[in-house]
Amino acid sequence: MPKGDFLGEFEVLILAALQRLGDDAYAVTIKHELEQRAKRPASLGAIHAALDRLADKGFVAFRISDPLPIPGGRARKYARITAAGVRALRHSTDALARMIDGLELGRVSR
Amino acid sequence: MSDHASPPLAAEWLVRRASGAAEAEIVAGDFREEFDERVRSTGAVAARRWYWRETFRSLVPLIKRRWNARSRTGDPAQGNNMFESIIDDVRYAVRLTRRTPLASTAIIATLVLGIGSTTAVFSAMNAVLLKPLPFPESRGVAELKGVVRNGMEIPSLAYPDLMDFRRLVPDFTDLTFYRQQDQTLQHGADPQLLRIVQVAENYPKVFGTRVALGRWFVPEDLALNAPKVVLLAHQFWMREFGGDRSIVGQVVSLDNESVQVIGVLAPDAYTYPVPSADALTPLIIVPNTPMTNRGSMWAGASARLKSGVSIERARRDLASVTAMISKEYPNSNLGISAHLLPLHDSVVGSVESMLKLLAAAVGAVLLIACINVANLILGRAQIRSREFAVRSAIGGSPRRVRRQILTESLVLATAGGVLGIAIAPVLTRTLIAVYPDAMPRAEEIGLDWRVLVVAVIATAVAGSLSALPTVRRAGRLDLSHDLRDGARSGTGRSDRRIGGVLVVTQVAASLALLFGAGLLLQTFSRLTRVRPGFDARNTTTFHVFAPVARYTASARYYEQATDALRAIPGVREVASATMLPFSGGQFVDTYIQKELGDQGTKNPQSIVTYISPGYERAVGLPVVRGRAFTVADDSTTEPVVVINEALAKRYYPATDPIGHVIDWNYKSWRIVGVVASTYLSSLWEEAPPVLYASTGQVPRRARYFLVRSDLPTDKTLAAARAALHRVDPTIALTDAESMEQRVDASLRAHRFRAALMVSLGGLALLLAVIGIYGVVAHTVTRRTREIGIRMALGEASLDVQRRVVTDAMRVASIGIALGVVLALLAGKWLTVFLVGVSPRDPAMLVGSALGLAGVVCCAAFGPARRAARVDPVAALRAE
Repeated sequence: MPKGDFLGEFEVLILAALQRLGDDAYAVTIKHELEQRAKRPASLGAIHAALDRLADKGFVAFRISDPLPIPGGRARKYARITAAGVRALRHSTDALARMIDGLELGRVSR
Repeated sequence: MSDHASPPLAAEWLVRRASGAAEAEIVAGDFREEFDERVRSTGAVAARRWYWRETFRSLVPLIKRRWNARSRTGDPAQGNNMFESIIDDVRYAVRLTRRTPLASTAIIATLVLGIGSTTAVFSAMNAVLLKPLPFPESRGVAELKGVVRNGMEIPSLAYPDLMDFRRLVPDFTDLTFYRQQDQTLQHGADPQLLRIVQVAENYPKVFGTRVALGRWFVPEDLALNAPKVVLLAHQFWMREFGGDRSIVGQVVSLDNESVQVIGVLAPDAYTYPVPSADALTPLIIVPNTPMTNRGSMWAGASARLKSGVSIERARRDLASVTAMISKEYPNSNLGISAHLLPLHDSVVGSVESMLKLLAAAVGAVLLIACINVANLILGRAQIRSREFAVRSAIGGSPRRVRRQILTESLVLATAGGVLGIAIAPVLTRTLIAVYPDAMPRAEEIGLDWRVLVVAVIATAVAGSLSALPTVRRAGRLDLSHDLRDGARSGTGRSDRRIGGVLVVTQVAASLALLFGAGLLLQTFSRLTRVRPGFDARNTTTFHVFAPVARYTASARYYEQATDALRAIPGVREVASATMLPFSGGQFVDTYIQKELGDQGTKNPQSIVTYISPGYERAVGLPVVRGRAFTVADDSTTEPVVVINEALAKRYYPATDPIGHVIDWNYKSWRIVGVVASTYLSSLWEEAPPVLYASTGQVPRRARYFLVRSDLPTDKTLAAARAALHRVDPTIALTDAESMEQRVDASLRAHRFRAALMVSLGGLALLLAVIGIYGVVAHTVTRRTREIGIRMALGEASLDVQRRVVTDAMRVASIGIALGVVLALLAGKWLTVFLVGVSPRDPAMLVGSALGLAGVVCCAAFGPARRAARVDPVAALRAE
């Protein structure tokens, strides 16, 4: 795999969040997922920016929803991980797993 | 639900702008969704706060994302039109700047100088004048000053009075006192004199002092006969002991006494009154000595005001307490009071007026620089007027053209500003290096956000100011005319007016600077011609201190040292004295004229100096009547004093003072001689009355030596060092300078100001010459056709030449008239720096004005000659 396809840490987290969220992945739910599961604070702006970057690489596809059927309802931009995205995610996590295999890092207490 | 809570409008607007039109709904919607949820869970206030925080965290990624999106699609219409076109303008301006490297370099270099020096001076002002002193809550600290009978303010007070202030003035949380007491450290190869402050135990309560190692002084350290202890300053500890932590608890030798090091101060400790002193020692009060005498004012003091107490209120309360003390102890305290001054003002007082002078002068130079740049930009724009006309013709609005010009100017100014900020620290360091005396707080000077803000403002102002004339001109674009004629001819009235304004402003500002420079230069040159009242040549001086532990009778050391110095070949006279002219420090005392009796506050008061026999020969001081001290005057003979002429004139106006007796220091003294008066601290303050007593009768421990010798100063000094080392290797020789250097040093401030103003005035003049040359040359170019017609009709080339110069002079004379007004204002402002020179000195004013007129004339002459050489046929054919 070419070098350019390695992902940043934040991108890895986002791709993982997309896979977890399935059909309900958009900026707000991704933010919650990152904060609750990864304990990683992220601004909505940063998430949008990262999603766009990932879309450029072909790892993410978007779908704009119809406005919600309530007063003031609005459109959401749902994101979905592509097959290439899944491969890239696996590639990155495998690389990470191989690198840290057997390392004594101790427990990180939260 | 969220019925009542809505997101902050401004923040939402920011999010939308940063997201771009296409995505604004979606991103803002995400924000809104999260916001609504937070309103439910944490309440509206917290949710709004979150919205703002989230907005700021999101701005940079959102803007980047939008930027990327645009470059991806290559669709500029998606973005903001205004924004896009500004980017285009900037690109175009940069290209243009690179296409005309010479003009651009001239413009940028001028701006670098202007902005750089403005930034440098402001960073000095910022650190010295604007920032609070560098210790916790320093704004609440005020220094106490003693006020003596003649109204003079001195930096010290009497200890018992201070104790009364501490007890009776209700506005102080703490009052602490201290004095400088330098001591000699015996460590390593050579003994060295340490700058030491003796402090009271509560010193940290006022100055926030902390220790990094060991401990602060405890009351036991300040008890009478307590074991001696010392706290080292962090810098000194690093320098002398290499940061060795085991120094705490060890014993060092200070003035030949064993002193235990109990700790090291924190690196940021503020040591008042000696900035970055080497060490602190406890100030031990010895009862029944001059230390506890109400008449003896020796202790420096500062107090921390209670919060909410104004300095005025503290001053009133202090005044009523001093009044009470004087009533209770009239003998010692009548006419004595105390003054309270914010510590910051006390520290920076002397430098304030100087920095303001500097700022005004630099500001004037920046203005002149901007005018020159404006002129260059205008010239360039006129060459391009056809380009602007074409732009207008194909639909560019005048506003768009104006923005283009402004952008170009700002691009140049930004280049100048960035480079200016880069060179500012160098200029600041130069300023500190050439500043006379040590600039207070110099170590705190540096770039911070305030300096950067000022630099950015200076850049923006320079950029807009430089573009202003061109922008104004572009507003009145005459399309058909410019399209037809291009750059070749035409002298619009507006062009001439703009050029006129430039010349007038430059001439006026230069004249004011030149006049100021002239006044300061004249002051300086007058002072260098003043005779100090003694012969300063060939005398080398230095200070020594004979410690008590080694010399219970200090006279013995000085006798031995004097003999050793006399034995140096080439030395003609050696003497010692407690104080030297132009070496700082004065001791003032009061005494009683025997024949008049005690007159209370009317008793004579004068400077007292103790000198050894031979002093008058060593310093070249003429004896006017009677005799000087001899070695025969000692503790067994009648106490005698010598006075100077100023004292004789003031207190013995009608009689011969020789033979009169004064009561002083519990003894009667007979006046045996009168010596000439000398200037003591400066060449511009009147020579004060001085009473001289002999060290043969009153031994003194710390003295200056004066060595009059045929050898040059450095040779004399080396020989003296060796000789004193043989007498006692543990005593340090400090503050070595020739007498001439001391006198010269007193002129440093005047020399600095004169040099500064002359160089800034010269720079201004140079810029003005370039500017005026440019304006006149430009006028000639544009009027080539007119000149050609005139010459074709028979005007002589000499007349053409004369008319061009006269035109320039007519405009310049308006500038000179305006400059005279400015110069008089500047002079009034410079009054404090002038000695024996009138701030409205007419000769200087006329001289500067004529000089400037001459310079304008010369600047106009070059283009005028070119005008005279115009070939009428060629000029007319060119149309």
